[in-house]
Amino acid sequence: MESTMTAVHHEEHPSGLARWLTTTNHKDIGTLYLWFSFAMFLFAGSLAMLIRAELFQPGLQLLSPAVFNQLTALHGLIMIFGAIMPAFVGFANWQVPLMIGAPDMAFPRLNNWSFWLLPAAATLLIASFFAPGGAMAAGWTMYPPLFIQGGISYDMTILAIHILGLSSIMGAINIVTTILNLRAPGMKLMMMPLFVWTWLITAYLLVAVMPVLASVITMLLTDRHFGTHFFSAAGGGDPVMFQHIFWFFGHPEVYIMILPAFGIISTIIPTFARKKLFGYTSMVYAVASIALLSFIVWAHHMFTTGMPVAGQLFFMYSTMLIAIPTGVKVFNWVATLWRGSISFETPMLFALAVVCLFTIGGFSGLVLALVPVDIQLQDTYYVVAHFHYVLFSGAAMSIMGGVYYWLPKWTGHMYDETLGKWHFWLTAVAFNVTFFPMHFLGLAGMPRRIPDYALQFADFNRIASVGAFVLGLAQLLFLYVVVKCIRGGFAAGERPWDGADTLEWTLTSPPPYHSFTTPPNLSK
Amino acid sequence: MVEIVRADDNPACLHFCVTARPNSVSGHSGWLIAMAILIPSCTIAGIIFFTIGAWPVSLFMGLPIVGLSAAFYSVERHAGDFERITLDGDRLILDRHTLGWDQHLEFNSYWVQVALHPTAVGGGNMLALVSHGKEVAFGQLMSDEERETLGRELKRWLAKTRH
Amino acid sequence: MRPPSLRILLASLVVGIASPMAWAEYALNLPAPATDIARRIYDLHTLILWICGGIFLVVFIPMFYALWRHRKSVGHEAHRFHEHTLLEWAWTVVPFFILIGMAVPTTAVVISMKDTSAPDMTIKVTGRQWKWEYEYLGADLKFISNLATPQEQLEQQAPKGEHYLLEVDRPLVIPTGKKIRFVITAEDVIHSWWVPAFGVKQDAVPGFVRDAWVKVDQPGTYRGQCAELCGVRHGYMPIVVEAMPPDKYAEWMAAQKTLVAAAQAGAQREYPLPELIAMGERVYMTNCVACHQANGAGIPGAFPALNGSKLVNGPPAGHLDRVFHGKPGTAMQAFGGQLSDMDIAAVVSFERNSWGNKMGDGVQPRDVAALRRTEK
Repeated sequence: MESTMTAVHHEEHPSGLARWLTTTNHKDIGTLYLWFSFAMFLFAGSLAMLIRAELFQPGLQLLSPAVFNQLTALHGLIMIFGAIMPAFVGFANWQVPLMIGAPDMAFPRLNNWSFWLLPAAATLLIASFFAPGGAMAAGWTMYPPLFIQGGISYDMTILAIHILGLSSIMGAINIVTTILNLRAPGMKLMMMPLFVWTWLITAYLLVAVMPVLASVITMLLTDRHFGTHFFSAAGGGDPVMFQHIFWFFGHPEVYIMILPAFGIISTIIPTFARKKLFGYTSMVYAVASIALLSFIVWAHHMFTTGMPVAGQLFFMYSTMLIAIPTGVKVFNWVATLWRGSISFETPMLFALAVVCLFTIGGFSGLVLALVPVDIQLQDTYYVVAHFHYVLFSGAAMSIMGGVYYWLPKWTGHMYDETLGKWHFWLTAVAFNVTFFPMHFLGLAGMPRRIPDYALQFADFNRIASVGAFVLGLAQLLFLYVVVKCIRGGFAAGERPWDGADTLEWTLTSPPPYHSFTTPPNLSK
Repeated sequence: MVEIVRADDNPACLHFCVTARPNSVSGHSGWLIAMAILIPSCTIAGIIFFTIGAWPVSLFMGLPIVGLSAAFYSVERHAGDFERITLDGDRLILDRHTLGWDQHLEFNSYWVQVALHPTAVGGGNMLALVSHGKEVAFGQLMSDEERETLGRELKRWLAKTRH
Repeated sequence: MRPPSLRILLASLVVGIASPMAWAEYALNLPAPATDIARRIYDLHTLILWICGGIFLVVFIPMFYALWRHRKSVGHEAHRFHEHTLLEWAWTVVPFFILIGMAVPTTAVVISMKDTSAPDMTIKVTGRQWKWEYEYLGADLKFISNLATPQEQLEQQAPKGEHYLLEVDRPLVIPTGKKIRFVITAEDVIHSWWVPAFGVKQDAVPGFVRDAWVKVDQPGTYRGQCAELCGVRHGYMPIVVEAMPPDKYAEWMAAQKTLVAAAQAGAQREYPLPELIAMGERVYMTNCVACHQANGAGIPGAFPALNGSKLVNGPPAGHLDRVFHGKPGTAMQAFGGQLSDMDIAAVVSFERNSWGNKMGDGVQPRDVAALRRTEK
């Protein structure tokens, strides 16, 4: 019987692109999201390598200032919208249905469309490098009036972001509906794994703020081509209004990229501490309060635009408040580790590094929250260091940890633990060599987004560049480990991690409703 | 959600009968909570942006409300969907109810083949009945594991009927 | 490119543990403050850093202790607790009070930073792609400050000077000990006027006039840069401020006025074409070269070529008009408001007779003055 099954399987398996294009299976789509995001991670990462190569020493060596600005803008845009966000959506696709006992996402076909919009947008962004005048060069924040001055590639960028935004909204609606409606009967909201909670809240943020981004870039488009003057001072518009709208989207966006990371960390740490997550309820409330606060802090990105004192103070106080729920999360993780039975497999190493390094990013965030200090540090390398500590060692390293954690489940094979640890240590050390010196550069007064710098900044830039090259190369090792794991390895079994307790490790959906683990007695 | 009715439970099914329905967690309260959060926040943001002159934002703020409402409405309308496979002697019956569209297919259990394909990339699968050169996919309301087990069981059972 | 030197890497490691003497060399902290506000910011930053450092230890000493003592490899068994109401309340409430402790001194600094009332003098700062214009309000003095680092240093054809990229042709000069209010705006895109030693960073936003103030204690030269991405030459828009004692400042101001008068007188006479072209080259290399390039070829797709351009090789009036009024909606600015009649005449004459352009004619300063009169 087994042999006939395999035969059938080989005969009737239409392979090729059509299967990929039409698949509606959540695991397939999750996998596509993850591969897409990894490809974008490597592409945007290589843009960063070029940036660091140019900044290796003072003077212009490799790039013209025009190209340099294109690289910084597209590195940011692609990392955010092409690498980090799709990676988390990939995790959601794979894990949310398994964790809540749903057969699939609520709208499988919509899910397919959300994914296939992404390669179209990525193609547009990459193609814009070859447009006359080169790619968009106004930074990922796209501030007008500079943005209004640009050429055709700026319109391509707007279109690409529209497509990416549409994809995100569709994905988010799908996830909200899946979590709220398709849970296995009996699974109450406060029983959901924390990863599902973080994604529910993230999806809400996405649904609420992606339309804001869509509207603000539409306004840029009409300012460019259809005679409106929303943001042009000469026509009676207000360039600062763009920043208000953009950051009303932009700050929740930051949490969109970090909350699912919190979910992954809250899954990994209990597993390898072999102990239940400490303070589950307070974790849920902390995530929800971070999300709520994210709507009233946006103007802390704009302290130097010249706000009234009352505005500066309000946004400073609200920003400082975010430290409280974020602190609760870190304390809970430490309490989870306390008196556990801790082991240090690769996913755990990543999770622990995230806790430490994200906390450093949190502290620099607190420093930046204080208006007077922010006035000194705004638009300097200190800010670059801060958001890489949050987004690389917070979001990207959580994604890496999550990949190692779930690879055995996804592929059925164990990954190579030795190489995984090599990847971890190379990444963690190179990351700090790259980005820690940037704090000093920012304090000393090096502005961000400059292709060339004064001689006093040379040493730390050189150190950062060396770190960046190692960091970039280490990700090729990651690619190798993943491919190796997919192609074979020790069988993982149903529960490769003895401490894992979420549903997806027990192959079954919630036990009482799963019908097939003990096959029904069919003989009369 | 998958229910199994075996012959001994329900005399109407000769051998066994598997019904799959979508999970449906009280649609209404979920919808109310979702909207209670979304509508006020989008409205307030929309009004504020309107007053500072960014009226396009207000238009766009309607999108999430419409989108999410449509999603919940659609899920609720599909709450009554089901898929049922019944083995009744030499007949294999596939019943499918999808919102205003019913499908009733009968196969001769002697000739019908069960195909279990892995999907393209992600390690999922799809289940189909193959007969007379046609392939009918089923099991959309089941998870991959459920499809796999059901497929295996069906094959085993069909093999038995052929002897 | 030189290979990454091991020495530098080692040095950076040593720096982390070396004495504060070595720290100064590596600029690990905010620059030495030159105003009271900058000093308060410096102290505030130091305070916050100590608090953060303290919290870091409080959190991570227990964590690393747990990682060490409660490992599986030494056979530690997991305990079962997963809640503790008192503890959870404590680490929500205690941070709140720490934050209040931080907010109080910060609020005081914010309020003084924003207090631009009762200045001794006011200077208008205008950001343009890619230079700063300074206007001494009430003193009838206005000039533009451009990057002074020669192009050869950028392209490694000459050794880099001490103040590479942080030097300008005409620095802003201010008196010490006086409260100076800056009103800051921009002509084209958003720039940001930033001098770290003053603790002042204010975005220059087109259509808005924002303000900031300084009171510099010690005479000296203070350097900063544009902090807001403003296009191709964003990295080449430095700010240099020279603070002088009030008496020296008065002397400087008098000298400037004489220079302005002399220039106005000179603009009346007729100049021979070669002299105009020679002067024009200097103006071109400061104001035009960033976009149109030294060879006049521009950057295809971004900035048009002047070499062989129809406009440049057409009638002088059209060429002058474009330089004077700019081209709205592009990076081509209206230089009429920025350059003197002399400079505009010179640069137009230069462009008409350089590279492949051989028009053999030029524009005289008085032609520009005539155009300027029709504007009024």
